[in-house]
Amino acid sequence: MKKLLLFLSPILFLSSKCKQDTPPVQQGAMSINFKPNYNAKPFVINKIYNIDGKNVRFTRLSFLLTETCPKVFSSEGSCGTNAYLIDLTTLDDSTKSAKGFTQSLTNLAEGNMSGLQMSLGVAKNLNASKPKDYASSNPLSDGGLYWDDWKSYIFTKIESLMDKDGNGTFETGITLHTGGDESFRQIWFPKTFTVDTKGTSTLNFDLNINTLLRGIDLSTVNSTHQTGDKPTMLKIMNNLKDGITLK
Amino acid sequence: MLFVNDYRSISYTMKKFLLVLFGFLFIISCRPDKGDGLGDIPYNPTTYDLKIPTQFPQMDIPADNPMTTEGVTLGRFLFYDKLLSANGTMSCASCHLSAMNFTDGKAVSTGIDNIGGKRSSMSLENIGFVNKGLFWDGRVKTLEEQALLPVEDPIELHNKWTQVIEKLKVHADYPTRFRKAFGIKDAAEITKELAAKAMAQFERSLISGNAKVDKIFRREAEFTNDEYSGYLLFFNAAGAPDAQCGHCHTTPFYNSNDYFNNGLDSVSNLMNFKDLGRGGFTKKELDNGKFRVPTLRNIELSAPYMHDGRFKTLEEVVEHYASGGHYADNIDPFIPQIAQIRLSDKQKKQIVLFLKTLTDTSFTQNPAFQDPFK
Repeated sequence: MKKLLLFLSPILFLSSKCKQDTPPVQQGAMSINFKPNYNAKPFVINKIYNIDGKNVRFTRLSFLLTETCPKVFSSEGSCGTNAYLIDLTTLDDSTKSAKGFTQSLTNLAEGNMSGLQMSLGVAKNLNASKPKDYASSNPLSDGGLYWDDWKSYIFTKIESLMDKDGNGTFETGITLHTGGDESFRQIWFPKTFTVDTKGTSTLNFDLNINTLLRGIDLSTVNSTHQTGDKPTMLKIMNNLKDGITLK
Repeated sequence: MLFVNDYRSISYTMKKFLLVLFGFLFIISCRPDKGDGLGDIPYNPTTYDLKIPTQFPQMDIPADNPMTTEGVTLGRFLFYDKLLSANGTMSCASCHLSAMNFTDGKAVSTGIDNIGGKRSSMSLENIGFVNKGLFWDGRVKTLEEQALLPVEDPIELHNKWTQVIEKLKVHADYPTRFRKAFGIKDAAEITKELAAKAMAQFERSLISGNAKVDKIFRREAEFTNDEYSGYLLFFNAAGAPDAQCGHCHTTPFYNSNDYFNNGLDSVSNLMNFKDLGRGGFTKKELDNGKFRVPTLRNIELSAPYMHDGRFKTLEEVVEHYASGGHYADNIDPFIPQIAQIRLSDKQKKQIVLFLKTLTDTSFTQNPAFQDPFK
């Protein structure tokens, strides 16, 4: 018996101490919901809005989130590499818009949290990657969300058609895209809530489209793709940051 | 010299031998019928060596249909076999010719009854990387689902899968190929689903990533000045005017997994499109007149262009976009913007020259993709 114990003990020691600990898979989940509004009413894709005297129909509104997760302390480390595409383009009637766009956040630590870190755009480390680096299930795999010339993901897409001359035809295209490391924005939303494995917590956000378009004259600025468009891009990202509020 | 006793002994031995032989034959005859004996053929599928160019992402391959050399080979035979059509005159390859980048060079394809379809044959090049819907309207999710449809489509092969399967079961060659690819033990186990899986495997092998543009990015070749100018216009790079092409035709496949109205038709009402396209599938009015963005790789070999093949040349295509397209309420905002930069004739030619750098004849001429019956 002594011999057996003597033989077993080093094996038990080796298996308990020398194997590298693999990080536990985090099972926590929660949801975030975005409800866009314009003039305090649900914002609907493809509905006609009069903006600064011009009729505009928005055809696409989306933005990428990375580094977005609940935290116990705001100063905690990275949220990991998850990326989420908040595609409000799907909200093409008032019922859908009132319901908003819900995104699940998964692989989270469980427990009581003091707030949510939300990052608009793609964090610098991830922005150095390319769509080919991701599986198709990851929004960062979408070539349509990457702009080679910027060497950056397209953080936001605001696309619309404008009836510039008031003849009832929306013949002017507006394509406001943002990207580049300078455009990355981070927000801390303080709120106590619990993350569990059932994903019962949902944080509800409003997105004020009036704020998003603040200071942007759509009748003169109808594209942001060139280097000279950087100030407008930064303005859009600042507006987006200001336009998202936690209910 | 043999003696009498020896003869007796031989006779006794012979009797014993015959008894044993009889017993053996009896046992053999009483064993359950092994059918066509497919189970005796070794089933050792080899993992297919899918060579994905470094600039491409990984391909999604369904867990229940891993690629094997035997599966891809079977799929290739089926793809080229006219046995799939009701009258034995057409195969998948009739509308997807390798020399034409797996299109058929027609505005709209015609089936065995010579009835024209309403859309142009789509290229199968790099089709394994398309993951948000197949066909021009995205109505099918997977290649396995897609491969089932043309056989029974009245304007394509106009056959019945039951008839195809019956032919495959009694075929001199196919049962063995199905055995080697999928491990069936009897020809009776051949199904349309297995046939579709094999064809999907072959289609996933159709990878092209060796065009001049790829060589240029690998530093093995160089753009001419005009090609480079076309590239800059295409991608709005280095401060060049934005011809807006690169927003929908993104690298590395020069497509996007998305659906757009690219301004082909002017309609006053979104219900008035001759072909509802994506909307015909989603039943959403805003999707009417939208179609999947096709790859521009090998576009030089894929004429005619658009879902209805209305443009015969790349020059016509560029001219269409340069004009800003035709208005409909859901026209993509990028399309009218193209007209704003007023592309010159020289710039249009440069864009076409750049498009021709996407030609990869090593793909269209790859022996592994050709008709195995020839």
